[in-house]
Amino acid sequence: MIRQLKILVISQFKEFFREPEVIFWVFMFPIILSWILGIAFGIKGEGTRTVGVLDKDGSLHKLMEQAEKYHASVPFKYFSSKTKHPFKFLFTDREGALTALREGKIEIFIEVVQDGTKIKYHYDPKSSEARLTFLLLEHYLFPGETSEHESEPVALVVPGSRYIDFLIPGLLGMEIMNSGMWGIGWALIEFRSKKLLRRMAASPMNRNIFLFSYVIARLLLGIVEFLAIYLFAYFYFGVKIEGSILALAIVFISSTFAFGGIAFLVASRTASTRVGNGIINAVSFPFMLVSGIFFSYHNFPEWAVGIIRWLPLTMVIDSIRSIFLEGAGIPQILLPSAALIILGVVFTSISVKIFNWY
Amino acid sequence: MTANEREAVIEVRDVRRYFKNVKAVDGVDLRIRQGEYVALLGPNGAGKTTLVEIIEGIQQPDSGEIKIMNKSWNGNESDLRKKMGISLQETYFVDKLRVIEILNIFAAFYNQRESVSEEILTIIGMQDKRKSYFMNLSGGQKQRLALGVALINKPEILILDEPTTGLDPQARREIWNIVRQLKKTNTTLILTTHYMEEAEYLCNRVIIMDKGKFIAEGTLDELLTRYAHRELILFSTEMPVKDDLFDNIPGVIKTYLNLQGNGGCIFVKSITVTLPVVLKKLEENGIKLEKLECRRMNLNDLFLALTGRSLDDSTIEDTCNFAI
Repeated sequence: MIRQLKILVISQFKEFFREPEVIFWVFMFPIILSWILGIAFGIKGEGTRTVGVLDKDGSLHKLMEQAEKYHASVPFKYFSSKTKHPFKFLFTDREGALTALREGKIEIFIEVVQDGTKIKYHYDPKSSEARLTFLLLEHYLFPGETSEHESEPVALVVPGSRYIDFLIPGLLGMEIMNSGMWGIGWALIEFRSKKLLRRMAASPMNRNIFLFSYVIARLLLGIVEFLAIYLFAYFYFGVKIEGSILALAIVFISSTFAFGGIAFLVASRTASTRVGNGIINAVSFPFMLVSGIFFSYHNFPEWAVGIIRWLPLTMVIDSIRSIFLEGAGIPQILLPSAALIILGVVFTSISVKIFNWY
Repeated sequence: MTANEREAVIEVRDVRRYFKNVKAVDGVDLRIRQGEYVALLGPNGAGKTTLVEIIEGIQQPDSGEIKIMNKSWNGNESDLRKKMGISLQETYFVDKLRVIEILNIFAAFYNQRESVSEEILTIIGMQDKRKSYFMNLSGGQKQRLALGVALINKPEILILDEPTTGLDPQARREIWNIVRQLKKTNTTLILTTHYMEEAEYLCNRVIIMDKGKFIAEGTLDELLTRYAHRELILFSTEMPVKDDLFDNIPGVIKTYLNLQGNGGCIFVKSITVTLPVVLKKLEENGIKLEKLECRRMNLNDLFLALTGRSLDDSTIEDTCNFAI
């Protein structure tokens, strides 16, 4: 039993790593995707620093004039010869500022009070970008040591305030789904279409072990995939996991079981890889669109959100996101994880019953 | 102890398997004793594969009974699988697994040590290919590997479904030699083929199958004795001959003419007796002979005589057109 499991898992590893295209799609594609989307949403845009401004009586304008005058009089050029300063101001209200933060448009917003003598800086102290913007702004607005003013940094933690923070858990969820649907579902359909499944089933191979080996192989490969994407996101974008790693592991395992079950069901009867392609796409594409990989599903109508939040991929992504961004622990992910495991068990049981080995 | 005295290791009783419009297996009985080498000979679509897959427990019969070593598949599947070696009609393995890795996987399924894989490599003569990916093997090598996989558990019963179809003569002969070697081990073999020579070379018992039924069966000797008196005259003429020209000639069993009527074959009891009469008839009718071939019937001709079709999917029409 153990030997069969071991040799099946190892041979799946070999099969996996000997297919360069697969490696591209599994490792490179998500990285490239996150890079493109990250860039597209201006994460690394060093040119200007957009700052949200809450300024009821228009005092900022006065402050800026004073600052400009001062900076013109000193030889040190603050930003570059062509531009006077690196800031772009987005005048808004508190709600607008928070939304802009979450959407990744700004990293900091200021509140100008007491006729411009006091400025409250709202930003995430953990964000080095935001800290830098704070220092630059403070230094620009109140240069020298003569200015009389009051500055008050206000720690503001808005999880998922950057797009990349939002995106990475989505991509990780998508990877788990794709890994299951293609790595298990499509692989089994291909085995059947090539009559290899029937050849194996005509031997005393333990069929449950055979199916189980796919889940185990996906779990192990999934860890590698997960690390590849996460480490990239960590080092390149500074995406961090706020919550419990154990909870993340539970979500990861339960979601692999869930998508393993769905993949078994998808692959239970079909003998044509083309049909398989169609079925897998038909199942996974809607999940990809609505489950909030790239954008929040809360934009959908209320009634739809009620359904979407219970879709397997949504449960996976929401759980990963809550761990990454909101610091969630085991209690918060227990319900979705249990639901995913039940889903996996139910789908696997049905598949085993109707699975066409020959 | 002769073959007849030994106990049957495979027993098939009145097995039927119908698909929508096809009676793939239509009431077949078969007893195979230990150590027998049995060939199921027939053209494509004769029902050979369906029958062996029913015996292999891969397909379910609609009715009838199968017993392997006195056990039915129901409830004895894992036990029977361990004793059987199977090579399916088309066998693919994972493209990017190596020969030795594929053998090792199946060794694990059959709970055999990995050293067995090495023995198998020697038996199938593929030691030099042990590290080749499956995708890089030739057709003959793939078939030899499939045979190797079938042998990994040292099976008591070996079932090979068209093991040499599509292979060149050299590759075919390599497979034959491996299979022949197994006779020493008292393995029981069922082999399906549409190559007459394969059945003749490997098997001591031949069953000719067509449209789901057995149409002739016996040891090679029995078949030859039973049909040896039959001989064949193939001819073509300059102009068409009448349908009934050869009727009433003594010793003519059956006559087939091609569509144009200017060629055909005559199954006769004796060439020496009938040929002069045939030639005389043609002469009397002023028909000039273009080509003539006379021979004893082989299994292919026998099949032709029984079914009107040839084993290699050609028809009687093709045979009658031999001169064209």
